[in-house]
Amino acid sequence: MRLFMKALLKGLRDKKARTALVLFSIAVSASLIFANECFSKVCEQKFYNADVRWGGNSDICIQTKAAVGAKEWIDENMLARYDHQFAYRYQFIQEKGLYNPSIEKMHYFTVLGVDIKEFNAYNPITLNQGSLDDWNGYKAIIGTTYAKKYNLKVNDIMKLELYGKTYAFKITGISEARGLFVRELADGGFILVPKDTMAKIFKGGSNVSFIKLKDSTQKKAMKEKLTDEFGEYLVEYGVDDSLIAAETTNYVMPFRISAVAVVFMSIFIIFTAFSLITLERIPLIGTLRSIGCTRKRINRLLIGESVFLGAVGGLLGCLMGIGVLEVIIKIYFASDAATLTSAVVLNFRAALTAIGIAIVITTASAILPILRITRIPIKNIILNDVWKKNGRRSKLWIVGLVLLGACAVVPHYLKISFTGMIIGNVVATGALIGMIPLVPFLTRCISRLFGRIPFLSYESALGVRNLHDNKSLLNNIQLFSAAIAIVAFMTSMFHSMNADLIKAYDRDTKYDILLVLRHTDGQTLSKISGIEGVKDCFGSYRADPDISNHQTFFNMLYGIDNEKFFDYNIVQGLNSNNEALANLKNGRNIITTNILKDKLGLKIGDILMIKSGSMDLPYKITGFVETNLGIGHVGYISSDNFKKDMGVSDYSEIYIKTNGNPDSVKNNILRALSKDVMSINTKEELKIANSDKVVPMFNAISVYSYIALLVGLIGIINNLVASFLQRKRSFALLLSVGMSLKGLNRMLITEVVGMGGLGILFGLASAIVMSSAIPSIVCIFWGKVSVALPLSQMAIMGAAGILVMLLIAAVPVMKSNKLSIIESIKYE
Amino acid sequence: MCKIIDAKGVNKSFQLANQKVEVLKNVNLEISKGEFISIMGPSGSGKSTLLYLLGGLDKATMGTIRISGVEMNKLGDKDQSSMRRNNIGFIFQAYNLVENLTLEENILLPALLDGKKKKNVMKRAEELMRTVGILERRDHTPRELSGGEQQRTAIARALINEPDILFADEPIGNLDSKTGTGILKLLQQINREKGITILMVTHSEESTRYGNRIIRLKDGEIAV
Repeated sequence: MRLFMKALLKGLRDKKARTALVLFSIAVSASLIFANECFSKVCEQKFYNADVRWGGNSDICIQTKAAVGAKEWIDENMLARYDHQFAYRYQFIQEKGLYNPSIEKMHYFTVLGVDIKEFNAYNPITLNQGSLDDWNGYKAIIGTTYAKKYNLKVNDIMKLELYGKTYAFKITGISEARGLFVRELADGGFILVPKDTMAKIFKGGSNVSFIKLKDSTQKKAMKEKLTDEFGEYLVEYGVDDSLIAAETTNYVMPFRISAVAVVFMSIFIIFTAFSLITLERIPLIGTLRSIGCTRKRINRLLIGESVFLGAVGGLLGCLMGIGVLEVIIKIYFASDAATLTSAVVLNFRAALTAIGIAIVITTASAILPILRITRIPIKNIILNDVWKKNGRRSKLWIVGLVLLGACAVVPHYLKISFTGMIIGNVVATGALIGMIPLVPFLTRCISRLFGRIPFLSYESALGVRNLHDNKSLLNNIQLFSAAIAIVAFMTSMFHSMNADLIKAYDRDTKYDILLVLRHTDGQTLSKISGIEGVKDCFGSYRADPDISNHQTFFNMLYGIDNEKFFDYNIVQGLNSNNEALANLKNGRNIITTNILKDKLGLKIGDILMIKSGSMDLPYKITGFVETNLGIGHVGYISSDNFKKDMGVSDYSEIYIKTNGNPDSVKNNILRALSKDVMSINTKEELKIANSDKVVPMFNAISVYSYIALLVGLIGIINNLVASFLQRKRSFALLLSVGMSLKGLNRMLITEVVGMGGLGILFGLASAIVMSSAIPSIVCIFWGKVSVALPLSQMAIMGAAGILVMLLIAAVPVMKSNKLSIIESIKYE
Repeated sequence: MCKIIDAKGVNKSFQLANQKVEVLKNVNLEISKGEFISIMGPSGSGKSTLLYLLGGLDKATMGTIRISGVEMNKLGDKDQSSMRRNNIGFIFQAYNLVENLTLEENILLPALLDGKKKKNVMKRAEELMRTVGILERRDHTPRELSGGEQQRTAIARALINEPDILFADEPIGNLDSKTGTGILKLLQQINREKGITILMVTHSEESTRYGNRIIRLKDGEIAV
């Protein structure tokens, strides 16, 4: 059998292009699996980096509450009682400081007063300019992002307004985007200054304390103990592992869903490539069978070969995966890319998983063609009678039609839930699979119709006919349809999500400006109302707490004074909730959304445990409304409850309706409130900012669909070359009966263009059907969307597909021009 | 009788690895209209190569071949293809029918490639199918037929454009003797009734009885 193995390996070497395609397809699948596994780690790393940016790897964080009347400083004497259980604790002062070089550039930074040696020991600072020495007086360290933004360098003076007075700080260091400064833009910027200086300015001690326990396993017990004792403070975990896991799942899920599509594509390519490889092996198999080799033994050897290819492809995939991961990180986490390279997250387990799955995919894809070929009786192989006689046509297309039909209908009856998402995915994948057997049936119908076009030359008519008669061409149509369907479906999904976001702003948001102020009081709203151009305004409280009894969270929990809130934020289904709205403040009552209701199986009267600091507060559901902005995880409680339970006193945001141009009114507000303005955005600016937030995710996931398309196209070229070799003899006989080379080229171009046209038609049609499942697929991680088909992108895709097919047509055309009639006809 | 094929100083050689193999050496041949020639010779003597060169399916390394006065080597692809469609018919040992076309479509193929309308050539196709005895099988595909029926289809296809010459490369090589005899009789009938010139490569002395001249090849040369 060593000889047979040698023959198999020689076959792989001789068919270099085919072997390379199989290996590439396996490698692509493996690389995505590998990249996905590592991407989870990247996300974990990202969220971990984000979580530890304040307190390093400390276990518990204690800080003062923001509410009026709450304690301003931590009682260090009380904490000192536990020092014997702490490995360390370090404290700092955290306050807001205004940097005001001009009214346009005015910005509030979070200023931390720290003992730099202590801070650096537990949460290292990486300076790219300056030093940590001589840390006293009015010194400051800033991050590189804002240094660039304000063109600040070491030794520059930065004037900060703290506690109503302006102080001149000398910049002594600029930190890289690491540690505390890892996500500066999102955090709004940090400035480190000496703790003594801050203590002098604010006349206090510390308001944030990070604690590392000697025995970290006691984290939970210690947190509970400190929560009891420090009731007036917020006691939280330094790093919340369960939150990191939940956030990671949320980020990785869209990538996992996308990878399924590419793996499916690779299986199809590996299957067709193995079909061709095994076909070529028929004479060798026949010879071995005739000299006594058992079928079982041949099966074992051929399957062994596929395992070998799977392992090699898997290994290559891991190498490719590093590149894919780098691309995803660069696109997705552009701002964090400096600290998140694939090198920090590559792991042996991910490589092993990728190689293992590659072997399974390859073997599973290869097993059917292998068994089909080795099942052929020896006599038939020797007599070269291995082709099935034309029997009754397969009725599998009916199954395909049912699967597509299911995808078009079932999602309309799916509820927003995890099960709904799974079913949505299953029916969408089913539609993609269902399209495969439907392609031959539809190709036959359409090509028959096209074959009757009167002005079509006979060669072109033959080309059209070959589309449904030639298995290899049909395979290509199936492959191309699947590739187009995957890309178009992904595009449709992103388009729907983005369009919904933009549409939702226009539909649900009835204010022109969103304002966040440093401090608010009873006079704030009337003061704003007096500004020129302001028609009306309304303040609300907002937070994003966890719902601890359902392991999920609110994207937006609003504290509302009255129903006027809904004049600014349109919500459907309010009418049936008048009573609930009126009674919102009579106890801890909450109105939430139908999405959350479906997702968590909630009903009126159920309790939601809303997490606030270290407390879980029971809120009784008194009503359900349609979601605002399609987000889903939204709740409304009374502002009194919100202020009391969340420990806040200032409005989180103020909605403003204007009489004139929102941009002019925004400037009026800036001029009037200047230093009080934390952030101010017009509706248009919010719309763009939100869209910009999701585009990197769409782009990163698109990498997967474009890889699917690339694999599909390479598969098509391979199939075309393989089919050309198989059909050389029939081309030669057409030439022998008088077809000209030009005519043959016309036939080949018709085949390829027809293949492209039908592939695009079937692919786009399938994508449209599959799009029905988009709302149920994305609801869990995105919220409610309605399908918006990207028609212009689909048209571009169609035109590009035809263009690519015309380019691909050059392959058989060039080969046909070198065809020798005699060599091809005499070749048996 | 008028000369329909005129080959002068025809040589054909191949490069096999580093070795030059001379298949045909200085072949001179004249064939008149209406002849039924049997080309014989041992394996590797160059019979099929000569047939393909005369039929314009391959190019001679040296020498000239004229079919009805036209030098094949000097024709471009378009004219050579037209010649193959209209003036020449080929019959192969392995039939070489287009698998996904029915018998009727296979027969019509050269006519339709020539731009003729189906309705204009249908009558002739039916007549040919009747002549070769496959009319009832017209809607079947080649895989559904016996070897004899496939070869009859190939003959009908070769005749659809009423060519002057039929080239047959071992037309009965894949058939049993009874079916083979039927095919040879059919070729003889075509030669006699239609006056079509036939050049047939064969291994069997028996087959030569249906023709009227034998050309014997040995080591790439016409044996005298």
